[in-house]
Amino acid sequence: MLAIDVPVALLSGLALAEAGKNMLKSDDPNRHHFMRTAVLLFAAFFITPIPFYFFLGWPAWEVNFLWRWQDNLHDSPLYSATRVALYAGGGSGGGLARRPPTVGYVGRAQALRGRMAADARPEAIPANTARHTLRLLVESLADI
Amino acid sequence: MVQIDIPAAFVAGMLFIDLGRKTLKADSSTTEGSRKPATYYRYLFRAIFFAGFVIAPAGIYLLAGWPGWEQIYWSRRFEQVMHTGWLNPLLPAGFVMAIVLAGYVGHVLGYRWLMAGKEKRLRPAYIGILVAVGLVVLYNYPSFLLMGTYDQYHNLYGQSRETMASVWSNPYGFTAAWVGVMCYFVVALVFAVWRILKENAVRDTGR
Repeated sequence: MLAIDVPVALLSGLALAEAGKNMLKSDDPNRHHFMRTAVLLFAAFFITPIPFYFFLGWPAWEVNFLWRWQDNLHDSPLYSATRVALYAGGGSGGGLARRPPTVGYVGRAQALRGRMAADARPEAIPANTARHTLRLLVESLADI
Repeated sequence: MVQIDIPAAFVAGMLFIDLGRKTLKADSSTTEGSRKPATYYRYLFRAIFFAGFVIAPAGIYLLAGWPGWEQIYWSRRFEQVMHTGWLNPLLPAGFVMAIVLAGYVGHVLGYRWLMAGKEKRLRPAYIGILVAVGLVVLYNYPSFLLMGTYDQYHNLYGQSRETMASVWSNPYGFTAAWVGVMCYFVVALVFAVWRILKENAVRDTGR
């Protein structure tokens, strides 16, 4: 279900960042590139296809019968774009680590908010977290 | 088209290796043993990112909105994914995975050839694949010029190919959508190629 799959995608990105935190903290660019490639592959093969499959086959159930639009996507540029949005959402959820420092940062910030990480460093998180995260994500695109 | 998108991802992975061969070779000579240089993963990321965030969304968009045309009317299954069992919705999901996998394989194979001193194979390989794909599409003429359903194209169940619309008459908003998709693809490809060429130029000048 969409209400579950999107948060799971985000959590998967954070979990991968946590699992690879030593690589992310490393100064070795080899490890950074390896990490973000691994996250992208994970998103493409294990996160995105699952909600995509259910959204295609059983769209109403996938969105908890909240709307009608998803039942008729053919021959409509706007509605067919929703599938792309779903795909991108699934991919970007796990793909927060496109730039390792970003996901390391996002992971720490989120973990601190949820009080899930004992080693999170408050001083590393600026006041405007959302803007800073957005800036890092834009930088990560420029780093491609 | 499904028939183009999957090979295109493979070609993109190999093309990036070909364009960045100087950098990749130079960096591989500085690493020890079987360890791969940082640029290997950088190029791998580029190949997968391009496949996953440029080719796949373009393919999904057209497959979702105009499923018959997107696979040039090879199968009815792509038009009937909803509430038709477990197999049909698996096809578009598998299509996405195949695109990403093709990008990965294109990169890995290209890098192997490059490191084995067989870089002369790269260009004929990806150009040959593009030509082969083009021939497959042309062989299915006039499917790529007509917009409609599988049954219409194959004159099944009382439907007729004569009733299909031209793709250039913007049927169901298709032409506008296709132009948008192509613009997105071309801009992304030019950007990726420019990044790689610039990186290699910097390496050449030693700056």
